[in-house]
Amino acid sequence: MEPLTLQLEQDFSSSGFSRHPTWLTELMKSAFVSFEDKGYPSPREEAWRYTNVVPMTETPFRFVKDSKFSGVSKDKIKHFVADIEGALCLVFVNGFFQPQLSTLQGLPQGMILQSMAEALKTHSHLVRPYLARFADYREHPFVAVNTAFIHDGLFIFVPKKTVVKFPVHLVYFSASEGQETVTHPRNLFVVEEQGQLQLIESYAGEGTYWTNTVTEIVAGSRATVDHVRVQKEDLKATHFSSVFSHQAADSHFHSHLFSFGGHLVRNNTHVILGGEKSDCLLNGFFMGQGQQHVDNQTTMDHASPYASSDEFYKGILKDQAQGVFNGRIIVRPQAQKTNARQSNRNLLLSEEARMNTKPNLEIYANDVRCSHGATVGHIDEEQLFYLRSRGLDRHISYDLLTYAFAREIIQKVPLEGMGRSLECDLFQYLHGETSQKVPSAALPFSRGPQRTV
Amino acid sequence: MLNINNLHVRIKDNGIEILKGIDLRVNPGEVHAIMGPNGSGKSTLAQVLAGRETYEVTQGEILYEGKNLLELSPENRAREGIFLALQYPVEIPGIANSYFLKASLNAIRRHRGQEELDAMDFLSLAREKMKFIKMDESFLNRPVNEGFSGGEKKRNEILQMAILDPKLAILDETDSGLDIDALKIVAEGVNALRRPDRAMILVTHYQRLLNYIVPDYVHVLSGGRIVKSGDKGLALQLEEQGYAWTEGGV
Ligand SMILES: Nc1ncnc2c1ncn2[C@@H]1O[C@H](COP(=O)(O)OP(=O)(O)OP(=O)(O)O)[C@@H](O)[C@H]1O
Ligand SMILES: [Mg+2]
Repeated sequence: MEPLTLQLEQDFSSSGFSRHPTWLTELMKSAFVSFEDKGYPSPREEAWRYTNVVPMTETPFRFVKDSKFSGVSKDKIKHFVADIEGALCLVFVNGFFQPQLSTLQGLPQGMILQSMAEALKTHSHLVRPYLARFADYREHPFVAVNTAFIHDGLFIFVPKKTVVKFPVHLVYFSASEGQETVTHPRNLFVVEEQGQLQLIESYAGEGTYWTNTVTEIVAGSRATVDHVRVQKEDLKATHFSSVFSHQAADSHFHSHLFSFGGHLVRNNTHVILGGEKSDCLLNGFFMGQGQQHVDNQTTMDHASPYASSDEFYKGILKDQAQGVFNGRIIVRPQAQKTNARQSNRNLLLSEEARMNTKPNLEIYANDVRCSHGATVGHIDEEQLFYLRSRGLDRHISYDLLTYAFAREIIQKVPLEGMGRSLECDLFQYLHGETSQKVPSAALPFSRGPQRTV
Repeated sequence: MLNINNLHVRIKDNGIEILKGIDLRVNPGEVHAIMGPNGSGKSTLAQVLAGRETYEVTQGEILYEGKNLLELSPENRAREGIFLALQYPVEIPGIANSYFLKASLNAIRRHRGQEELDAMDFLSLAREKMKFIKMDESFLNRPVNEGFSGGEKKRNEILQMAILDPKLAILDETDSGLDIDALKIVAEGVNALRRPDRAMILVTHYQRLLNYIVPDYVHVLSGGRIVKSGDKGLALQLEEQGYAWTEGGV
């Protein structure tokens, strides 16, 4: 048996179920059984064709149960907090909520914002109807593992017609401290009818560890949810993240993914357009360098008529990095008048970098508009010459064109402070300086007084 | 200023020879017009002067201010005062025109040992030049050439030229695609830049432009060679008789 499986079984059998309500214990057990039955995904499965998990199963990532504060300071966390005005910041270290590192104030009337551990105790009746409803652990083995180890994360409940004016920023920091550990953060965000919520989820850490996170988002009719996911894990880390969302009629879900760090990365986004005229923007940027392997999976499930989806993923790969984009669009028989667009464009900055991109359309309705396209290319020689012919150095021109490529995605992020912070991230990762904050003057796009770029 | 001797150029990728022995001498203060049929090699010559690396010089030399131009990278040619307005300006989504212009100008100023312009000084310079060529300021904030109309792209090239202040400007069909008013504005812009220490090479198909910018010399490039040279009268003759009569004789 794989060392990882042994470790998971050992950790699972010693979890303290006694403190949980029965329904939760049953859910966790059932998820673990499902994982044991199915085992690890094999490259024969379409969704795992380009990502081999065998090497990672050699590492017995340990689940750290005690929530003891591991000595991570506020200063360290500060690096990973985007400078967004008025944002609430919720910090988790090794998967557990750290109130002393977080800022929590002024929640609107009726809004519930709690650590998952807390919510399972005090608002179990609100959590239960949604938890594991859309994140299907029978389909996804690592979602099953996450579900089996549900312990902490964030629960937000936005009641009817409640507009949350400030963004909520979650920071997950892992400090592996010598031993290989795993965290299974579990988030659930429920936004009722006409509610509005903006979320930022950041992942970072130090050492060799595995983040296996699952977020479920439920948007009621006419609700609006903006979701930004930023992954800046240690370059030795393994990062698996899954977002599952379900949208009711006339709701808006805008998701922005930014993937920079990690050794082995799998970003999965699964959207169900469950109500008429719902719309979804799926915006993604990933970058890989060195030996990084970055796999992006998206599923856009059009389950209702008149819904629209717009999916735009871009990747930049350097060195020997490998990238994967597998974009699935399903249009169910009842989903007439669907409008679905998907595009994946990739920029290779070296000869050895590899990209596998695959649109995957399953259309069962007849009156629909679907378009998709994928490209893999290098820096455009004509553009490069144009910049150089105006006096710009070759390497500066090259960098500029690389930023410009990524910028298109960054610009779609609604929060301005977030955009700036992402530009810094991009700069740092492109220049291999991942530990320091970049002075804004060094940035090619820093916004001057007249917002030139 | 510019001395081209027996220049032979081929395309690197496939070895096809495009320029087959060009001789051209341009002195400070002069304006040279280059005309010639489609595909004769005019843009090739212009791009080789600016340092495009898809071409290979197999014979001959280009001296610029007495130095071997072929040894300089495109960026260093620009910094030494060469400016090429492209026949087909390139779109660069994601980079604002203002950022591009300011970065270019400062790269050139650094090379000349001048102080870099800050955002405010740059903006007032850009505004002044834009006013002169009647270009709306909003073009500063748009991505370089993206979605610009054909004429707007050409005007943007002239704006770059006005801001970068070159010694040798090569305009490759900057007049094509311009309406009459724009043509006049561009011509005025070019004339304003005429100076005793500055030279220009205008590639054009139309005698019309030469009514506004009167050239000192007109050359006909055909089949990769300069087959005829003369004064502005040559352009008029070409307009009336076409290129056929130039063939076969210098
Ligand atoms: N990659 C290539 N392979 C083959 N032929 C090429 C290639 N690039 C350019 N050419 C040829 O080189 C010749 C010269 O082209 P150039 O653009 O210099 O012409 P031009 O005189 O500027 O024409 P125009 O008046 O139409 O702008 C043309 O016949 C063109 O087809
Ligand atoms: Mg041409």
